[in-house]
Amino acid sequence: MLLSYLVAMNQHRNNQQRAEASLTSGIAYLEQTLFRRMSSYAEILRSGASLARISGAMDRKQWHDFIQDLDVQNRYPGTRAFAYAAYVPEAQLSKHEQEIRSSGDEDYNVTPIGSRELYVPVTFAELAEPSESDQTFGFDLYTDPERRAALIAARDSGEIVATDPIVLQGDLDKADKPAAVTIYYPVFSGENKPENEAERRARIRGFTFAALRVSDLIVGLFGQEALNNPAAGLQLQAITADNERKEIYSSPSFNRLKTQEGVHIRTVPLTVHSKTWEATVVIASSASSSFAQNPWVLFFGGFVISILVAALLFMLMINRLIRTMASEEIKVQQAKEELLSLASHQLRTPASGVKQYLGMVLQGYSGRISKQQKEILDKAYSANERQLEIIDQLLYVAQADAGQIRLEKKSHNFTKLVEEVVAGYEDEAASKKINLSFRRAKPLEIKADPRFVRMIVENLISNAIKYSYPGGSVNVVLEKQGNRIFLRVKDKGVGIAKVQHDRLFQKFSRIDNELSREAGGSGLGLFLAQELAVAHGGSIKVSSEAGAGAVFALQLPVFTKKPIYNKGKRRGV
Amino acid sequence: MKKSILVIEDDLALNDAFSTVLKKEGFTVFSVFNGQEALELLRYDKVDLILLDIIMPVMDGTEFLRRFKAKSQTIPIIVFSNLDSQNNVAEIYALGASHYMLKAWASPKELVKIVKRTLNSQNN
Repeated sequence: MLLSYLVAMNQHRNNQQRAEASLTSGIAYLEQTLFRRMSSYAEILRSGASLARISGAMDRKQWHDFIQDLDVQNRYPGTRAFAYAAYVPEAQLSKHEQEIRSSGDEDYNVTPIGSRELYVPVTFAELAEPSESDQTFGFDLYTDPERRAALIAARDSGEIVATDPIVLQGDLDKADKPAAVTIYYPVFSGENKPENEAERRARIRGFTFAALRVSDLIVGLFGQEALNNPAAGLQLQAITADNERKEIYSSPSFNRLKTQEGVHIRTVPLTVHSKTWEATVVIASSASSSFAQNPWVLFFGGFVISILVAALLFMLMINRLIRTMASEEIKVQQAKEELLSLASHQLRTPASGVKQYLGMVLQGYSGRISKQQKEILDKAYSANERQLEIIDQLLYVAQADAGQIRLEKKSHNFTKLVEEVVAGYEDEAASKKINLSFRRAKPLEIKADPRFVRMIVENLISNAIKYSYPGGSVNVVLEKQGNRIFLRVKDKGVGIAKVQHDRLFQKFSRIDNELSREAGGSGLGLFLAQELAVAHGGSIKVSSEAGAGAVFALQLPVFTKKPIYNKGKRRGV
Repeated sequence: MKKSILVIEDDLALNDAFSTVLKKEGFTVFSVFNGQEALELLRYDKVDLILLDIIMPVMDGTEFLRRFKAKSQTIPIIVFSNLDSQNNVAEIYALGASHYMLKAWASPKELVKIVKRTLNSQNN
């Protein structure tokens, strides 16, 4: 960013310098071009004067040919008129008029009509707009103050003199009167140039002059396209005899650019045939440079690029970091799972072994044991059971975490499943003198994973038996309500206090009561049983009070599909 | 006549425990440690019941069952295993297992009970 700033600053300075240079060269060009044209005008006017002097009585045709030869339209575009005005004292007025009329211009009149000491009428003229002939020919230039001043100055000095800004005759009827200037060159009689003012006044015969709209001149010199440049502006002002500034031209963009920020502006004086004009040139600094050199573009571009690069690097870094973290995490997770699985497996086998050996002693396979021995071994056996339970839960958790538990739902007869499980526990119940009953129900289809629902049912029934007193009863009821199947396992055993209900379903939890040391169990805690029930879209709920037995209700959705064929009747495809 | 049982279990301690219990119950017990050994033994000896662990090296229980079934033998098989083995219980039953038991949870007495029950139903 710093770099782009420096580059931008440098570019800005370059731009500034370049703008200044542009300005200088632009102004130089302006001066030269204007000077060249003015010089050309001078030459033409001088040549015209020579022609007038030499030809004595010049006529229109001569003037026409003279100007035509100059190819004015092409070489001096923007000139309104090249003309000749005769210097006619009052005494010679009628003679003058007659001369001109007889030479072909029958309607020639010196206008405005009236008696004056001196007339300087436009006698011959080549006009850019021939339609303006009427206003032009015979018009007495002397009647116009600015023209008069210039005529007098030209006569007295013998030099080319430009007027202050005027309005040309042909433009008088226009709404926007374009600024114009006329340049006069005195024509003297006689052979040698008069040497002083008195001589000039005596020998003055007329004037050759060029009339030009300033805007036409400028457009003709530089071309409208260049002047339309939105990033450069030109203004010309004439300084009048009264030392006032009068605007005679301003390019389309000038006024807007003049007030803009960051522009380069310069005013220089131009001498135009005795008059001083002021040219003000304004350039927008970025105009002189291409888009790629605009310091703002550079800075902003550099800024944006640096931000993008930074963002990209940042993203790459973060990505790497995340990926590393993720892979770390995955590795950790995998290690965890592996450890869990391995540990559980490895733990289970010896734990099973302990169960078998303790069981052997407890169950009479190694001879009689004393009551004391039995008591102690019972505790060991119970603790081992707990071990196995926990290991099972760990393994389940590991599998679930690794996404290895997949329910394979099948439509099967849930009633039959429950019957089988109940049958499996009959012996155990009998040995504890517990009355285990299952209220027969009609076959009920459910779509579930039979392995897992079996385990749930086994867990509920085994718990019921485990926590029942000898002589108690365990009732299993199965019914369907709407879209759901309810299996209720009811016992009249030790019960669970309300405050313990939440703990019941937690991982690895065990409510300690007088019966919890007994052997048995299906290897799953209630936690897992509930997990499996929930995984099927069902639930396990308990209602129980301490000392008042318990009812565990398993609820499972049915999700059976109606058979398409109904006892031989086709019900549509 | 004494019935004979083949115990197929790769863990030493468990194998020994099962064998001891069953012997004390009056059965003749053969014990091997994987399915391969079991198949070999069965070529020469006849047994009345097989106690089969699923997860074993060399040849596991499921593979044994397939091969055993292929020989169309009709000895009752009690399979015991654990939840975590990716067993297809249905496949195991389909392959001819008479009973599927959770290994870790059968106390000696329960094991004996199931063994006796299976043998009795076999007789009927």
